[in-house]
Amino acid sequence: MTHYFLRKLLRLILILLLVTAVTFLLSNLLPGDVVLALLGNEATPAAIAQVRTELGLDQPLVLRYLHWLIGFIHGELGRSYITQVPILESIIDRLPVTIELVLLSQGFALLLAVPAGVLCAYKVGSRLDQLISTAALFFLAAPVFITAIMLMFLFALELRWLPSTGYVPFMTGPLSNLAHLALPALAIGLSEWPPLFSVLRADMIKTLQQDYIALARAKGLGPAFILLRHALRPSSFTLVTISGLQIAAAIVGALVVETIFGLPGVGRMLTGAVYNRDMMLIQGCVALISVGYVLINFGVDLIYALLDPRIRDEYGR
Amino acid sequence: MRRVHQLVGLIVGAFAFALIGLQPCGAAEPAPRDGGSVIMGTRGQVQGFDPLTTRAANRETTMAGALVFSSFFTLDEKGKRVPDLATSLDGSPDGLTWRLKLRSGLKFSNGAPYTARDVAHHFQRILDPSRNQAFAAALGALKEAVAIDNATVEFRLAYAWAAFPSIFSADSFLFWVMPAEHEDSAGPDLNRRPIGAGPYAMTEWIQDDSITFEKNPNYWNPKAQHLDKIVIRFLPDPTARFTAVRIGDIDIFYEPLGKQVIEARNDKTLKVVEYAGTGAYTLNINTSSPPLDDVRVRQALAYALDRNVELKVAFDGVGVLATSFWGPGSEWNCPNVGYPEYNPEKAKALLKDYGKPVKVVLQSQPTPTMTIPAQLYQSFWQKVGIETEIKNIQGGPSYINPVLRGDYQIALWEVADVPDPDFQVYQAFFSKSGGNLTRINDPKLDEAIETGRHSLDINVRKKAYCDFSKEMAMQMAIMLRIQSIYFAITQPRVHNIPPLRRGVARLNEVWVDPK
Repeated sequence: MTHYFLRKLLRLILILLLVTAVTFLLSNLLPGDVVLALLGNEATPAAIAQVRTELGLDQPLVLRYLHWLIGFIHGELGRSYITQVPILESIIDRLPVTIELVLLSQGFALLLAVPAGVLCAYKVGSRLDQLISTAALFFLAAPVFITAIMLMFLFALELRWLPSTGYVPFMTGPLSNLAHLALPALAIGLSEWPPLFSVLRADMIKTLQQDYIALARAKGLGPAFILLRHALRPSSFTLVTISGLQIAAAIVGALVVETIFGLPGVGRMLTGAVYNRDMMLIQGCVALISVGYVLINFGVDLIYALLDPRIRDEYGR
Repeated sequence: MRRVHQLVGLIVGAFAFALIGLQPCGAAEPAPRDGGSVIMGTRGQVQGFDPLTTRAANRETTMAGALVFSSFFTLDEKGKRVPDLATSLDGSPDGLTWRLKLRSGLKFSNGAPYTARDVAHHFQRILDPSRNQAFAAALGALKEAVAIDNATVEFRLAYAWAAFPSIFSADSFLFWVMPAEHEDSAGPDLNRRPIGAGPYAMTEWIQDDSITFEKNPNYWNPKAQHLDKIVIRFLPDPTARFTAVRIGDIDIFYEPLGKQVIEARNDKTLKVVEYAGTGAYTLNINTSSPPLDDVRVRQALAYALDRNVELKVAFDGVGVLATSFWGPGSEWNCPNVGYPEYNPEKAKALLKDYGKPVKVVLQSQPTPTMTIPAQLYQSFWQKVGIETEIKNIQGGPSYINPVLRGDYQIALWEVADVPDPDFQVYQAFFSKSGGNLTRINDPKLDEAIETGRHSLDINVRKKAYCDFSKEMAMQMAIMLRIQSIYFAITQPRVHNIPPLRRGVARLNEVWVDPK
């Protein structure tokens, strides 16, 4: 187990180094210039040169990356070029919004995908199966911003059930917090449930063809009991794996959805940073998101190892 | 079906933009009422309050700053200077020294006295070359600011600069004075901890969400503080802003798209506010390389354009065609500058005289507000034999940078709406300014620009800028489209939004009916 853990840890470090280096390189290859974003279009070349020096942008790329990396290791991500606010502080402020949004959207996605997947596998080929599969295809194809605008139009503008924009912290007003997050979370959830639905439906169909399911039926067990007790659990491994991976997709969705619904999350901050060419902020956000994402998957790997003795044995040899 | 149209309109509205004229604001307003709050939804974020940190301010930042700091002078509806934090500004006969007299008894929002020392310290901090030189051009000839006594600041200039007095009535982030001790001690946090002497004080700033202001109890003029609370909320998506104002999530929708303006005009539950400023939407021409270094080609481009068609198609027929930067409402307006009218035959004759095939690259952005006009220009120029390649670049620095570097041929642009022509023309068109966007080098233009900058005689200046407009219409380094125009859509309960000069809404003058 120790050997397994160390190998995974080494891979984790290499991935993080790679991700941060690539992000640093890419954010520096972006067209545009943070100095112009700061100074505006009437800036003189002398002013541009001065600010470039102040921000250390006149140093070689590798040197800048190394400086940043050393700071990152020490928990110092620097300050935003634009607002001068410490980046770590900014991210910590916004992280709860994004985490809540991602969790809620995952919850919505699972709430839709699991019953739909089970039902369609049970009624495979039926009109209901076709209808739900078509709906899944529609939401898979629809860009998240279209879904978001449609939801806003329906639930905020027409029905006036939910607020269209804004955010209230959970501790300030739990109900208001959920009301403000409902549409954004639903927008992401609607874009995320089709892949979950598809894998669960496919796995369930296979499982329902197993001999032990036929035996259960022969024993006279009810369909609901068979589906939920005997078929769902063995069909859920891929679903669980995909759910973990979907967190990355949810974060991508948050970039768009937080902007549309005016949520003060990491996604919106990152979008703003890209527009402003705020390289330090981009780098900080992406690095922390990557760390979070890789750590989650690292955790999942460890859990697999704990659950599945074959994995432990393989690395323990 | 109507709902479908509305939905399509909302989605299309997220990408579309066309400018439309609206009914004038401020007509038959009821008596002001104190109390209540407003929420304004804006596209951009407030960047901060320290000029040395923000270095440039968007309109949202300027609006927030106007609440916290106010100005030394404001302008009334007719554009006349009205005292605010200062009571007078007197210049020496040679125009080299100006004395600003502060209102007595001014206090910052933290209760500290607002003195000439704070003002002088603020300007000296901005001018300090060891800190920053980014504002050298913006502050022109200003050499030094000195506190003469508690209420008098003396500004010493390197040379007479006619536009200098006008900067004191500008809502400019450069003049946001904070207590000297605070400016010295707050460090990088100064940008987010403003202390001003304006009508409101910042009470909360949730980055990427909203910024909240409440009445400054120490403001000198409580009559100009109608609202208890003002919130500026950052909602970058225009569709979200429009939905929010329609359902009452926000009270003021700043910078709507043209389609939304049209929709709001037909919606009796909304009001629309507009203001036509100085400045204009333009096509900048880089005159430094062939074929656009030849004035005949530049003139041919202008004669080939039917601007009335553009007004109709790209701006839905509303707006005023620009013939100079200063429209009919501006005191600097100069009629009959000889701006080229549509004349394709003349364009063809000029090109024939030039004698070589002409191919140009037009820099645009991939948005309907830019692509529709760009395609129009392409078709007009095609008709007279000019081949046009449209080069789409995403907005922001990647769009601006090539123009600043001179790495472009023709670019869709905008001349800013500012209080004095000097700010519009000196940096951008004076051959030796270092920021000469069109690379034009014309002695007549230079002479007019220099006269406008240095003369203290208003009539001489007006003539200089008239000469500038006429010479520019000849040299055609910049083609003019329509005059600048600004919009806001509000809930009916919102009253007295003052003129959106330079696109800035002075929210402290707003008052509201109870919800």
